[in-house]
Amino acid sequence: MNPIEQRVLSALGRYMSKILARSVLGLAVECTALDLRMLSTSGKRRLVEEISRGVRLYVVGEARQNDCLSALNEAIEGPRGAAAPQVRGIDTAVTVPVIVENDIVTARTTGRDLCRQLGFSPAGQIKVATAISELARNIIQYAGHGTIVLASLEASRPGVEIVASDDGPGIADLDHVLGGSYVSKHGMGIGLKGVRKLMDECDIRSSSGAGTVVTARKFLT
Amino acid sequence: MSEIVRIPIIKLRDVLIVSIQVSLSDAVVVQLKDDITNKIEHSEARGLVIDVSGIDLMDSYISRAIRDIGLVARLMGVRTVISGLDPMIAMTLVDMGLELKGVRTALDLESALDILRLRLTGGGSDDEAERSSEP
Repeated sequence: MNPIEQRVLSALGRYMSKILARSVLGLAVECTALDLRMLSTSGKRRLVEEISRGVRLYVVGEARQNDCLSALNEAIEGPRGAAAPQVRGIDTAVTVPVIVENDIVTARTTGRDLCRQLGFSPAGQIKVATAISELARNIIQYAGHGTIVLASLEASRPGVEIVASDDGPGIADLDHVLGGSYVSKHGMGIGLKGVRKLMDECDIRSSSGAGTVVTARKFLT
Repeated sequence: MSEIVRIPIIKLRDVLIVSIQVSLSDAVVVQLKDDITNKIEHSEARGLVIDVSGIDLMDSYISRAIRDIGLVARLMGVRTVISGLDPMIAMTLVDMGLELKGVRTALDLESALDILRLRLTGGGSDDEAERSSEP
């Protein structure tokens, strides 16, 4: 039996008979056509909704119903995140406005602290902080101002996410910038290329006149 | 705006020593460039050591700025050695494909001074000694 199934049955079993619990769960799984072995966040929500109907039908008394529902939530979501709705896959997020040049230092220091808290090695901390520094500098240099959002990624694949966005002039020829030959006036033409090398994932969305959004992730393992 | 932090430049005989112990913002880097070239102009210095052991990180801008300082100093007849590059920062630079091309590096301040003494007394040619930073 799969662990979620087991936890749900034992939670429901405290408020209704075992056979009833089994049929409520079975019906919910059938209705939602979910695979309990791999539940997404939205899948979990749908499963909770579906089972809740059975709980309201079969558990007597509002107080007991509420107790049962919170036990159910805990069984599916795990002991923590039951109540607080979360942005998908993200635990905490810090937004650093990048407006003046000194914000580059603030952004990278904040990022480094976050990485340390998340358990990144010193080398990993420096790599992420360096990537943040490059992205923040690009914002100041080309767009004037923007924001950097730093977030920790959820437990299934722990890591850190950087989203650097601005509504500046955008990058007209991304391939050229990311190709080998580009040399900017200020750095070594290595800013964005460097970010791609330092991080595990890097997605750059930009077009001329429409701003730039860079999303970069680095995982703990 | 708060006043820009100025990094002190110490003169020891004919060598200038700059030890960077703060998180470098771009303004501090620009100020440092100016200060160093001024100091070179008004002192009899023949060597320059930039010790980066206290630096938090080096991104492309900072590493380019430090390399530029070394290249400018060389044009002014001053030999430059960069010392104390943190191994983790060195690895990051290599990952990014950045090299401090054209500038001599040393493990720490002491060996930087040794290198300069050797060169200033005539041993070792300038070109042979140049190498990029490696962990």
